[in-house]
Amino acid sequence: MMPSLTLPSLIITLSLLSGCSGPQSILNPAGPSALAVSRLWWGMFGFSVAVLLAVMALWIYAMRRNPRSLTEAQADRINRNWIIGGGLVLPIVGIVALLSFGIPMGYRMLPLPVAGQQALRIDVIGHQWWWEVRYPDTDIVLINELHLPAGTPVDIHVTSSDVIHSFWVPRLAGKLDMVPGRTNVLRIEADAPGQFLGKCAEFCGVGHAHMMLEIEVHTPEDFESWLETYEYE
Amino acid sequence: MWPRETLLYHPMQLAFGLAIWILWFIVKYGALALFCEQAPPPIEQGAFTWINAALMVGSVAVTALLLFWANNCWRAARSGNNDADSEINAFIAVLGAGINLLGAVVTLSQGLMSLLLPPCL
Amino acid sequence: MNTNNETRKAEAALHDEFLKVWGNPRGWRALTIVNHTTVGIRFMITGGIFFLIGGLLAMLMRTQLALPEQEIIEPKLYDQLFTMHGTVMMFLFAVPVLEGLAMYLIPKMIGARDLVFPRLSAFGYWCYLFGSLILMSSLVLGIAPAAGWFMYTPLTNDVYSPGPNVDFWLLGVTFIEISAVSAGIELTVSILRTRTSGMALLHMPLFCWYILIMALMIVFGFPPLILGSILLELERAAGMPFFDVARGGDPILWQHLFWLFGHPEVYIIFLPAAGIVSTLLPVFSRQPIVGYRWIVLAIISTGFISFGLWVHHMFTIGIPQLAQAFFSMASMLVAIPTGIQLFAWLATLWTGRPVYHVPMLWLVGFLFIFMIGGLTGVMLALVPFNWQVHDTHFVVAHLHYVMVGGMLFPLIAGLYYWLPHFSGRMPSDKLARWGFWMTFVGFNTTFLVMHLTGLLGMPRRVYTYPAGLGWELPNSVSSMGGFIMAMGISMVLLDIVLHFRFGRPAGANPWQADTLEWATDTPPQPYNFISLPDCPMRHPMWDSPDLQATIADGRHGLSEIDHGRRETWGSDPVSGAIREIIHLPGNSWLPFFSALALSGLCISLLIRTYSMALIAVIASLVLLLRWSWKNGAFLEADSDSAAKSGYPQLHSRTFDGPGLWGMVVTLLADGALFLSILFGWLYLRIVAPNWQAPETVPLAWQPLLISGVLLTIATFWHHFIVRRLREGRDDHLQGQLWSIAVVGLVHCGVLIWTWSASSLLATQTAHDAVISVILMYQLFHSGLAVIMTALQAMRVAYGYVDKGAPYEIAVVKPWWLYTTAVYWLSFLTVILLPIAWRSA
Ligand code: HEM
Ligand SMILES: [Cu+2]
Ligand SMILES: [Cu+2]
Repeated sequence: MMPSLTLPSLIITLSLLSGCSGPQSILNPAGPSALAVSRLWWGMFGFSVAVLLAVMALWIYAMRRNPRSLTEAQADRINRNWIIGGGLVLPIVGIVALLSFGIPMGYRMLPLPVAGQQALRIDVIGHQWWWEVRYPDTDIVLINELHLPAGTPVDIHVTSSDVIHSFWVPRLAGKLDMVPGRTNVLRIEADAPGQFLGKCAEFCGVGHAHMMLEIEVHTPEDFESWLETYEYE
Repeated sequence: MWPRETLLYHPMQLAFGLAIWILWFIVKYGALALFCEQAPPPIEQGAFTWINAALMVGSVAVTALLLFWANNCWRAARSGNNDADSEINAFIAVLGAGINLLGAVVTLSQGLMSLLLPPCL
Repeated sequence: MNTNNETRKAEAALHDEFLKVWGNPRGWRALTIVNHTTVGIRFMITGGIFFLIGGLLAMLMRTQLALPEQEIIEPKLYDQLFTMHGTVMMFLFAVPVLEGLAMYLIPKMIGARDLVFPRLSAFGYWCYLFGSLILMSSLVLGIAPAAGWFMYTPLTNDVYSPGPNVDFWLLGVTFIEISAVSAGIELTVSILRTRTSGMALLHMPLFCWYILIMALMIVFGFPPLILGSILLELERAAGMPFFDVARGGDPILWQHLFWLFGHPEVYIIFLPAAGIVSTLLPVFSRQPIVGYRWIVLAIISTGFISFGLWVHHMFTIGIPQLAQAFFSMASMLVAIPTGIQLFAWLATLWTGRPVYHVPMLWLVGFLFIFMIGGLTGVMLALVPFNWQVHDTHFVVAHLHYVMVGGMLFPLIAGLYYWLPHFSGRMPSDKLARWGFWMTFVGFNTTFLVMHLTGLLGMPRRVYTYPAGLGWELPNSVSSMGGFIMAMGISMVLLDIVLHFRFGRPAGANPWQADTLEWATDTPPQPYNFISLPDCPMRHPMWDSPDLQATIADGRHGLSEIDHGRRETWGSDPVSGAIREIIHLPGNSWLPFFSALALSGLCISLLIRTYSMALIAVIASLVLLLRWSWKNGAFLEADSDSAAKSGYPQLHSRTFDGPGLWGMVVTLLADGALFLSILFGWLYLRIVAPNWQAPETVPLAWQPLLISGVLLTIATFWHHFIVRRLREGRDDHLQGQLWSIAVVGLVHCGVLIWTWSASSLLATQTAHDAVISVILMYQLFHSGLAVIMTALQAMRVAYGYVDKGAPYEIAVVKPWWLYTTAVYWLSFLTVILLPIAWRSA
């Protein structure tokens, strides 16, 4: 058992320590949605490793151990305990725990009305293989770049002009598909100004691998002035 | 009409509980889509809409039905009438109890979701 | 000593006589073989070859991804590679191999001599082989499908995928699915109706439960995809807009139809593999499986629940979160049956006295890998997490942990376990261990880090990636691991090849197993058992260790062969009590040529030569009719049905023989297809963004009503005939059957007339396209009902069918009923519902 596990686990720990910080990494969140998911991941990861190790250990121990001879009744009781404990209690506890985090979290990611504030709306339209970004109420149309204000909830209205694409900025929020004929709304928010990468996440043909989106997050003031200067150009 | 006993020992019990669940699921999913298309409630109501209420009531009713059946099967399995088929009868009735119970668990736990989330968002 | 010799001589003589009836021909006539042992092995070997091809494609992909910004493989080819890898692994490897194993084992485990529809097994194999060859030829020609194994529209419609690439997938895979569904039907009926005397449901080996549920899942799960493929092909070839938003279709409908199939598919693959685990573990633990009933409960509930999860593949398409939560919940609840099985296995080890052999190694590997796959599966079922990692390499890692852990490892464990059964020899220990460790280490090196690659944001289905995103190291590690795994697999193969020459002879029941398949010879004879034992118990080989000898002696049931028929028991589905003797058909060219004709159809549709397609359709129809002609009381099955006093009748003398069961299970699959059509109809009506329905229903309802009444009359009439046959009356049988056929024909005529007089424009709106499909479906069923009834009328004339042999007429009855039910249901949803809708 041992030699096989050490190598991959060594690699995974090493790379986890060094590599979570990639520019497109889910584990390097820069917005509330992504932050919630990355915390969720670490929680689930810990729980899963514990379950995995415990079950593996039990299994291997069960194979090695020398069972004392049992009466049928004793064996039945042991067996039933295993099945009920592991087959019913363990999954049910796990599921309840998971959902009690997951459901409220999903709820908070919805494009709900924001108190006292109108969420900024931006339209993004997918094409084979580029992004068209529009700011309603202005004439601004951008290609493959998206400008956002920091600290403000933004509703991205996504759709597609041809095949299905998927809008995804891993460091800010989860992905949402861009389906022709439909408009889906993704709520995203960036904590601070900076540059981020977006990537089409639904296979859309030969150009899929290169369908990237550059995101520039400004402070709200800079964003306002960007809007204005851009419109005059 | 079949005597109740035979029904509880019928191999149909191996599928009944979960088949009811599937049917209810289809109805529920379809109704949700239909309602949200025809008359979506305002977002501000959150999870407290008549759609959620209807789904919850339906789920509870189906759950109750399945629990009732599970209980019947369980008792039929225990009662052990002494004909030649009793072993196979008990086998089917016990499994039937399990399937009905599981159907109830799945129905209820899915139903509970409609207490938590807005219907059409 | 002397008596011993004599029994041996008698045994050999009996064997020779059995072989005269059951033997397999050699040379080119081997194409006629229908025996389940041969067909099962053919399935497994062919599937194994496709596994190697799929693996090769994977290695090419891993080479390309090993370093960033490589240009070894251009995107056009890479897209074909991952599409074909996924398609080959799922459709050409996983399902057929497991089906093959089931076909090989099931009759032996339930004490039968063959599967219940042997010609169907052979037909399934040829469909699979020809379909796979057609599909693979596209790769050789460089025009393979390139849109991912789930073929999402609109990327796959004729605008964004012109050329035949997608057609190869749609037609080839549908062809292969016909094979899967026929195997599903056959396995279901075999398990339910051909168990040996006294093997009640509660005595069945667990493997049979797993296969039964798998087979039923195929029966219900494949039709949605078959329908989807037909619709998409109609959209591509005939311009009928089911998935085109502008004309009232919806691409999301494809996703629903695909995943309605796709998720159950995963469990169709997992269940037999789990069945292998549940079979092997008790043998190596030296005690019966713990919690038999718990496991049966888990199997059945897995089967059901897996039909309520499909939307978890569609969490990012923007459906309401409440609806997603239903599916999220259901997905997580599958952990319960899986947990029950895992811990039942653990308990079996815990209270048993395990011994170690190579298969056990693969089982431990299975546990580790599958647990990881299951745990990441629960994570993926959580909606917010899914939104982040969906369609990234995290999912690629997850699906390989599930597929390789939940299918490949148990499969190899099973292969090692049943190897002595296939060949009569034992595998080597040393090479086998090396093979395992290389595969295990290689697999985990490839895919464990791939979770991280995904979390670092690498999407799936990209042919290359830029440097500097932190993906270089994990990708190189994955590629290295891939090659280690490939070496491991080659060692396993080498071991298996070598063992045929160098393996030491296995002897009888080498693992001291408990199930009946070890009571055959190793390797087995085509007839499996000379005599069929009573088996009212779960562990026949443990309870009566001399079973193999007494079976070979002919001391149990049905050991007569002088009548020259292939026979096996037909028994009660619940109690296993004997009901009839099933007379099985022998070797035949029909399956081969029917499959050949169908592949002709497939190819002519592919190159869009419709005149050739018509010829192929007629050829297939003629062959299939010839097939049902040679059935039941045809020629060889003469009237001396009760060979020995106390034996039941031949099945052709009964009313609910296996054919009826086959028909009913077929109709279940057919019903699933029809429900998928209705689902599509209602779905488009409710959610398609540009649904366009005309003001008035485009079909005249009066002639439809007349046509329906005619159909109903025909059905009742047929019903009435069967009732009279049951009462032992067959006067005017032939005339009545002809009259029914004529009434059915008039019904079809009225329907066709109504259609042609209607204003339906199938290429203009999805509304009209779906109605046209429903009409086609109806006409297909009505037409077939007419043909089958006419065929039976002719068989009455030849004397193959009468009150003494009423079998086939009873088989046709459910078809009429089904056709009528479909008719009125369609009438309700297409004509009445919209009227009600509009007035509401
Ligand atoms: C021999 C070891 C294997 C390796 C190295 C391997 C590698 C890969 C790679 C690189 C991909 C493409 C991922 C992407 O870009 O999305 C892939 C996809 C896939 N693999 Fe494998 N694979 C292996 C075995 C298997 C097995 C045994 C199965 C199933 C039984 C399987 C089923 C799939 C499926 C269904 C896909 C998805 C295809 C798609 O995206 O359309 N693979 N695999
Ligand atoms: Cu894309
Ligand atoms: Cu799934």
